[in-house]
Amino acid sequence: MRALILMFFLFSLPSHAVIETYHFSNEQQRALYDELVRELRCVVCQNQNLIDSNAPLAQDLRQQIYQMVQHEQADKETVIKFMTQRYGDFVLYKPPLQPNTVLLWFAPLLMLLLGVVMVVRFVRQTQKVSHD
Amino acid sequence: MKRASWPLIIFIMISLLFALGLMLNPREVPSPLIGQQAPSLKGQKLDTSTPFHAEVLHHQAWLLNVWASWCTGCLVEHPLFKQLTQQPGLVLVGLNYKDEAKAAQDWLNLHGNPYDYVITDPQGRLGLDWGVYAVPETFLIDAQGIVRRKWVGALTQQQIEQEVIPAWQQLHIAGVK
Repeated sequence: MRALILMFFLFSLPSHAVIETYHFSNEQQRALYDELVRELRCVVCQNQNLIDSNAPLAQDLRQQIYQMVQHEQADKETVIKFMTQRYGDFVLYKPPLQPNTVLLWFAPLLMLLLGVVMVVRFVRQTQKVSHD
Repeated sequence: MKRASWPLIIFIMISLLFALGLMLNPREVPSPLIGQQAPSLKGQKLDTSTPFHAEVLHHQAWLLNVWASWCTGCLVEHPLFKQLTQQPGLVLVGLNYKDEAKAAQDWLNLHGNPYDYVITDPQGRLGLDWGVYAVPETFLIDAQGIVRRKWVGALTQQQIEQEVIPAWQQLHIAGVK
């Protein structure tokens, strides 16, 4: 039984829609490619990264990244710059920290602070009530 | 009263934020090309297979329309381009994106050819440089070669009359001076 359950998990590993296989001359390049196709967004499908999407545009962009990584020995920065110059910051799943994204980056912290303030106030209030 | 109103205020604020968000169009990805020098447009002409370079368009404002014979939105906006060609001095360049030459030529023969030049981009290489992600797309480039506007999706009559033509006219007059 245990083996059966284990088998189930083995076969339910996340599968990717992507079929093309690219050959890299070294492992660093493969790792860089893998990192980039996960970090860049497919602009047409919007809530998928490049590796998860089979849209023609995502295929083109993967091909482009492969080309740059394998044949032009481009580093991560170069590829990201190439993509943002054409498609804007929107292609990045990790938006850069800049004036118009400050709220995006720090909103969670702001929410946390707000929560802490509310909890503290609530606790104090209930303490006061129980003391009275 | 005071304690009950806080969650209400927060609820209203969040609702307003969501309502605002719903009114935005998530399909519209702002182009980083606006205000930048236009990418080069070097390719082959569809009809003659001779080379084309956008340098021939220097010193005038022009429109670039990215289209394909397989694109349904292109067929929707296509008849409206008559209005553009009626404008004296307006140069409309078509970028035939990821299409087959024969299919593209047949499509133009069937529906009419409003373009002054049609450039082929069978692999989508030029489209990539222009940040094309959803055909049809239309760009407005000024006399200095700077991208001024971009419209994504099929243009409507209203957009052509109220946005495309006035924006082009303004740049055209500035370019002629």
